[in-house]
Amino acid sequence: MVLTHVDPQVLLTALAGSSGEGEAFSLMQVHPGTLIWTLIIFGLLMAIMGKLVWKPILKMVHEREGKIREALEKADQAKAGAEEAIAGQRALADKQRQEAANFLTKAKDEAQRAGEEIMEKSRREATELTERARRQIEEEKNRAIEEIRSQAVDLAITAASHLLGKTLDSESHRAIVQDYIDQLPGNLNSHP
Amino acid sequence: MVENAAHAGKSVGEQVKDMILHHITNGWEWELPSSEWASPVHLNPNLFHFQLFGLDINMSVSRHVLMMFIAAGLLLIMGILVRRKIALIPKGFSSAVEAFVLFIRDEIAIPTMGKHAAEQYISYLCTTFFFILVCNLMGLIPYGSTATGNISVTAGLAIMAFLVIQFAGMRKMGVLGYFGHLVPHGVPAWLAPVMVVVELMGILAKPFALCVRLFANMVAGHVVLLSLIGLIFVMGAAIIPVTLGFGIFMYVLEIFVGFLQAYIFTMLTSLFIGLLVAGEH
Repeated sequence: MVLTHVDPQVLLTALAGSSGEGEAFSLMQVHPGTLIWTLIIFGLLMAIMGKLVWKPILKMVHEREGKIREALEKADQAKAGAEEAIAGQRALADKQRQEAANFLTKAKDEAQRAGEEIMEKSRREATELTERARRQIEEEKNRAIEEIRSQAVDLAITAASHLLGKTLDSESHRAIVQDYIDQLPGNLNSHP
Repeated sequence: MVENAAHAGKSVGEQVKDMILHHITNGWEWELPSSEWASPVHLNPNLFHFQLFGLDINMSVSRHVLMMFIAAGLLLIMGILVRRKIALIPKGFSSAVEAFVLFIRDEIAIPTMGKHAAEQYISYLCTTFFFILVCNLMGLIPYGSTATGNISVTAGLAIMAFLVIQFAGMRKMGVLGYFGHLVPHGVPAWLAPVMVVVELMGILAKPFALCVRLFANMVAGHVVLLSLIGLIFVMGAAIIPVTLGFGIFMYVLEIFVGFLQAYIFTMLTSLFIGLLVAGEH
């Protein structure tokens, strides 16, 4: 609708409405009928809406709050349980690790001790063997020296008797030769 | 235009004033769209008219009463829709209504009067908020009219608030305790009569302020809006862009004011109940 096609006066009159029948209302005066209607409408509305809408909504909200609280508590409990279980597992694992470490240490110690024992034993045996060998060698050497010495004496006597053309009295001359040999430098005998 | 105005016997300015007053006051017509501009729906002014104790009471359904009926009907439809959809996990429209109810409970009722009393008066507070809100907003839709811009309606709501406040006080302190409450503790005996008068004035001033605040706020916005429209008739078509811009701004502001005033009325009523219910002050 284009405004220029409408007589503004008609529009204004229409907007103002017709001053029809019925008592006129005043802007600043309380009209008892309207007031009573307000009380009736509001009162009824409050009674119906209270029962029909507000209470059920709040009941549901209460229920929801309860559910949420319950769920949160349950979650907390579950979390605590899980943490407890984890702590238990960790303690168990620690214990086992400790045990394994202990076991390992013990085994290592034992192995070391056994090794040392074996080493000690073999060293001892080796020493013993060496000692025995040395003693044997010494004995053999001494015996050889003794033999050489006696043979040398005999040889010397034989040689001398051949040279002298007579048989030396074996007993007396043996003593002389023995003396001689004893005076040799680089004495083969250990005793002086 | 001046000639036409003279024809009506009034100046354009006076006619604009009549137009504004006609729109903000109650009446016996409802301007529904019809073939002719000047033929609104006429409501029967003698439907239910009687005398009681010498008082002339006309309870015929006027425009604002009709608007209240429509508002109540809308709320009931809303209630039925929401009630069907109430669920542990809210959805759609019912969760929007629920958000308002929870706001009234958690942000208005519980902080002012405590958890226990909030449960008892939540029905009243919710109904007050939604009824005032719908009445406020109905003035902003075409063919609607602002029932809360009628001092009789706001007076009715204030009387309701007054009754609920007194009921809450008597329920909390007992009837005798409530009247004893009119003289605060520690007031000298000779001052008691003065205190009673002062306290009574306070009790009456609270709902009176509620009544006038809502009425004035709702009327003021509409007067501004209608004045902007009236400006077109006084100053001519050239002013239309200006009035349109301001008009749309005022309209949006009115939507905000509609929510705000519903909140303020509910909040203050809750506060007044809380002052009596939440122990000594």
